Parts: sequence; structure tokens; C-alpha cells
Amino acid sequence: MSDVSSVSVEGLTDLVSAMNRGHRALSTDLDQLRSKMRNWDVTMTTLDDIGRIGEWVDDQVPGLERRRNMAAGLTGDQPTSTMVDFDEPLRFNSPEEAEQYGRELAEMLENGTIDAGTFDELFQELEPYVNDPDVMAGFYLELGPEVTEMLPEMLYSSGVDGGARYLELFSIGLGTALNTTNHTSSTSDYYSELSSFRQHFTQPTDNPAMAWSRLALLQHGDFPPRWLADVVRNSVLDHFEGEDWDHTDYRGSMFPKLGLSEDTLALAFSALGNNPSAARIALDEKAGITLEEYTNRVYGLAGSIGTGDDIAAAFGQALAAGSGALDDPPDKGYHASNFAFQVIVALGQHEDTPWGMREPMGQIAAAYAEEFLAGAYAHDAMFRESSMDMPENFTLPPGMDPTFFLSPEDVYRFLHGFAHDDAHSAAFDAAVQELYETLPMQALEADLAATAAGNTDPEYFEVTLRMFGTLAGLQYETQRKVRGDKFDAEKEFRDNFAFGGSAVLTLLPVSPKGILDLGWKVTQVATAGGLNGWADSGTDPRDELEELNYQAGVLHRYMIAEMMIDAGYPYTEDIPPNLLDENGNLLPPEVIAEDLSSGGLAQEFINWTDSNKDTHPEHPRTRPFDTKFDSGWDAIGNGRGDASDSIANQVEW
Amino acid sequence: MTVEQDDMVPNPEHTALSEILSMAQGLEEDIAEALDDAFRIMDSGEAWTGPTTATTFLEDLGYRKDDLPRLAERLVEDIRTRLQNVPAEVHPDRLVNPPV
Repeated sequence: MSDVSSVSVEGLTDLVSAMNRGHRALSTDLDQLRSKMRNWDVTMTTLDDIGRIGEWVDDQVPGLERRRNMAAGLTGDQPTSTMVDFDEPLRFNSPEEAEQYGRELAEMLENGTIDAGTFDELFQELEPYVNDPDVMAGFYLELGPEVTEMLPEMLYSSGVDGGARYLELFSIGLGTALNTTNHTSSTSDYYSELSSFRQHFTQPTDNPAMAWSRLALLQHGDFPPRWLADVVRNSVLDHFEGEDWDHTDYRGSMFPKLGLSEDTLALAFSALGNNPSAARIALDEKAGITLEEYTNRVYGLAGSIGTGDDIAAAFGQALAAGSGALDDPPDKGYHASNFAFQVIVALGQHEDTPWGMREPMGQIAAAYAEEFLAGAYAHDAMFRESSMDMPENFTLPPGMDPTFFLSPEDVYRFLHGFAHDDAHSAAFDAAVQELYETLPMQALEADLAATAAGNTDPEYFEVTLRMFGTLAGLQYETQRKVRGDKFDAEKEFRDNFAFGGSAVLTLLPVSPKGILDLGWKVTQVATAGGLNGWADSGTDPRDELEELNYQAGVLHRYMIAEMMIDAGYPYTEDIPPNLLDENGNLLPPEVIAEDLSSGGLAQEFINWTDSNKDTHPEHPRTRPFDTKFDSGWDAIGNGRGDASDSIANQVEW
Repeated sequence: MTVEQDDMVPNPEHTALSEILSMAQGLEEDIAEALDDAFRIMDSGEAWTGPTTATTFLEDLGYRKDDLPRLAERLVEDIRTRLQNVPAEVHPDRLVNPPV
């Protein structure tokens, strides 16, 4: 029978601590007693028996530490309470044995000719251990920092086929080694022994090739954030923040190597893109220039040098990471949200967005969808500046707790940055949809609770719908602007060069059924009109965007009224039987969507909502169903139309 | 009271053994419970489980944990027995020099 151990880092850490406490209680804590008993000739038999148990306990600790360290390697980013499995018996019975094995592997790179075969042979042994703290600490302690920073070049020079993959493994292993502490093993103080290693990498260098090599090693591993921030700053960012940034060639080689950009700036940013805390430390806490200035410089390079796209894409990843947008779920804690706020305001200053920035901007917007929703709201504190604090006299509906408050203009500006196609806004749309499925309902319930308690209707429902309406309108305005401009440019291109290709833009599918999955988008579509078909036809999207989509509008009204019925909003007129299923429930939107024609089910339903003009006798403080419905519908329309138009028209680039 | 009894003095050996007994009694609970935490963690199944190696370790730990209360008690008893054989007072001529 195979012997598989299931272990957790947390459990074994606690067990090792308990064993060490137990050992102390049975050994060193008894030293004084033992000495006195021996001096006064008391029999030592029992104390020796106790001592033997203490020795047994001590003997078990290395094996437990070894299992704990293996578990750490296997657990990765999962919670430390996660149980992970491995086969018994262990190959190494203690951290010391595993460390020694790592040292022996490193010796393969210290002696003789190092060629592709050397790396293939090394990684046959090393790959299973790149997450193993003991083996990797031994490996890099033996290798030393000078040889380590030459590894990328050694890999490239060897011509080995799997060079990029091997570099990734070296990086992961280095991260594993540098995350060890003096408590990882009771036989070796890894952290202390690796101190000179860490210091070496943080030494400033003005040699781009050296900087490239160091940064190449930091692309994949999970490194201590403050150390990583120091390395990338001392390798290149400190210089980039200086006065000579636009007269400096930051390339570490003449061409991409090992699957990485040749540009050290791109590598610095992409290393930060894997480490949110390091991104915040390097680009904010320790930065000598503002994020706005960083953006100006990166965008400047993006349009002027060959590696500019690499730099911009990596910069975007670093900003998205620092904003917590790449965590799952997004990290919107104090540090991440403060950083995100700065990023959103800084990036919104630019009308044109480099291609590589659009995806990370979409990711940031998705993570902070609630902040964009609240920020779009222009009915209160309309002339506010973006702020970490809530503006005075700002109505925040129940269920909302944004970490910061954007101005409507900053919402428009940021959305503009990734409005080029739906692929970049898909995550944002999904995040807003999630809010759309909960917030209006919560707001409606709060309104009903208030009127039931004899209070005035606080109209949270209307506020919420106005937010969604304005956000939808702003997104529509940005897409219309960006895609319209793009169409003009491409039309000119086609006319001038008789180019028959269609614009490669994808727009929202607006088949009635399709929009059911993105209810909040209906808010936009009702204004936007039919968009499908344009991409292939080459017709100007603005022509179709201006057409009212009657079907979508009808469906949207149905969905809002359905939401009110679901929330228990009282009505006075019976619902027509043909709008109900066999259980007496309102037909689902999917069925209504089958008949959006004039006089069809949807219109019949809208007519029914219109007929509910009386106050329900049991809810005298609650406004009639139709009044509330019209009020909500008007709020959406007001947000979508007048408010978003007004905001968009104010923006000057 | 005899003259001899008046001359008796506290026996340093008895005093020292009394101190040792107190010390052992103070440590008795720590010794008895030294492996309780480790066993509890191991027995919870949240640290390390498995059909052979882990189970054997849990059993070995359990035996030793169970032995410790008895050993702690016996340690105290060893010292008490030794103490009982040493008079509390002794004639100055029969004093035992304390160990250096």
C-alpha cells in the first residue's frame, strides 16, 4: 500500500513549535534540577527516562520541518491551512539533507563545460524542487550571487531549447530561496546566510546588460516585495526618474532573448506586474516622480522607440497589479485602493492610450466597478473633484461602499482609455452587471422599508438606476467617440488605398436574448441602437448608434418592472393571465423577449404597469407602482442621456 | 530537652533536598503535559495524516505523552523518598559539606 502523507504548512508549523516547546520542557528546563539531583545523590533513573523522551522529540523535529517545508513548496499561494499530499518515505529526512542536495546540484554549474546538455541534466533533477525552500536555499547559497546573475546569459549562450522555461524555473526557485527565514530550518539560518546575496542584487548598476540579466531572473518568482522594489529601482527605475530618461537607451541587448523583451524598463515593470506590493513600493512609496509623470514618460516612449510597446504593456501590468486588480478576488484594501485611485486619475489625463495599456485599464476598471458606478453619479456634488473621501451631500444607496469617489469627468476619462473594443471592457461589463443584479433590488427594498415605516420614500431606487444610466451613457459616449474616430481614420485609409478590409472592431451583440445576459448593458443599448452588423458592413457605426433600439427599450422596461415585482412592490391591478406561467409567476424575460412586437406580450406588460396608478390601500405611504416605475425609468434616461452628455461635453484633453 | 538536642542544627542536605523537591513539584505539571499540545495538534488531523508514517508517528507520540504524567510523578517521588531518609536536623559533628 502506498503511503501518502497529507500535511498543511499551518498545522506542521504549529506542531514543530509544540514539539520544540515539549523538548525544552523535557530537557533544558530540567538542567538545573538535574544538576542539583546529581549533586545530592538522588537517583537519576526517572529523569533519564524523561530525558530520553526529550531526545526522541528533538529527533523528530527535522523530519517534521522537512515535511513542513515541502508543504510550503506545494501549497504556493493557497492558504497555509491547505492539506497537500506527497509520498512517503521522504527522499530527504531533514532540511539539512535537502539543502545539501541543492548545493550538489549547484556544483553542476560551477565545474567544467556548461552547455545545453548541462542545463537539461540539471533541470531533470531540479525542476521538482523549484518550490522547495531547503533545496533552493542550498542551490543558491552554493551558486552565490555573481554566478546567479549570469544564469540568463549562460542559458542563452548554451542555445538550449527550453531556455525560456529554464529561466522561469530559475526565477521561481530564486523566489523560493529568498522567501526562506531563519525559522525555515533549525539547522540552517537561511535568511542570514543569504543576506549578502540579497545585497548584491540591490547594488545599483549602470550597465544595461547587467540590469537586464538581474531583471530577467525576477520575472516569474514570488519575491519579497521590498527587496524586489529595491532591485528594480536600483537597476533602472531610479535612472528613469532622472533627467536623462529620454536620452537613454535602456535596452540590455539588441534583440529579445529567452522570451523576454530586450528592454530593461519593460522587464522592471513586468517584474512589478507579478508583485502588487512591490509595484506600490517602487512606483509610489519610493518613487521620485509622480505616477502622472511616470505615465507621461512611458507614453512618450511608447510612441517613439521600438520597444515602446513592451514598456507600455509592462507598465500597465505593474499598475494593474499595484491596484490589486490582478488578485482574485481583487484586493481593494487600503494600500491597493489608494494606489488605484492615483492610477485612475493619472491615466485619465491622456486621450490616446497605447495599445498595451488598454487591457490593464479594463482590469482596473473591473476591479473598481463600484467606484466607477458611484463616480458616474452626477446628481449630487456634480462639480466634485475625485477624492478618497465621500463628497458632502452625496447620496450613497444601501449596499454600496466605494473605497474612493471619482468625479464623473474622471470616470469618462478613464473609460475612454479602453473604449476601443469590447474585449477590453468585457470584464468591466461583467463586474457592473454583478452590481446591477444586486444594487437596484437592495435600493428598492430600502425604499419600501422606509415607506412602510411611515417615512418619505428616500428614492434610493431612482438614485441607483440613475448611476447605472449615467455609467452606461458615459461608456457609450467613450465608445462612440473612440470607435467613431477610429472609423474615420480607417475610412480615410480605405479610401486612399482602396483597401477593402473591414474595421476590426467588435461591438455589442444586441439580439434581444443576447442582451438578457448583460442587463445593465440594455441601459446603454436603448440609446445606442442596433450595433451589430456594422463591423462587417463597413458602415459608419454612428449612424446605427443614433437609432433608437425599440425592442431593447421595451425589454428593459419589462426587466425593471419585473425587478419591482420581485422586490414585493405593491400593485393594485391584476396582472393579465397570459403574462403569467402555470404557477402564477410572471413570465421570464426570455419568453417576453420572444414577442417584443407592437401589441405583443412585452407591450401588454408595459400597459399593465401604466394601469397601476392608484396607491395600494395597505401601503398608504408607498407611491403607486406606475409612479415609482416611471420615476426609475426617468432616472435611467436622465443619467444615460442628459447627464452623460453633459459630462462628456465638458472634457477637454 | 537534652543537651544533645539543643546542639542540633538544620541539616543542609535536608534543606537542599527540600528545595529540589519544591523545584521538581513546580516542574511536575510542565513535564506531565509537555507533549499534550503536540499530540492534540497531530491528533486533530490538521497537521499531518497518512496511513503508515503519520500514523506510526502519532502512536509513538501518544505512548510518550501517556508516559509523561507517570514519569513526572515518579520523579517527585524519587526525590521525596531520598528526602525522607535524611534527617531535618543533625549534630554539627555530622554535617555533610554541601557540594561545590
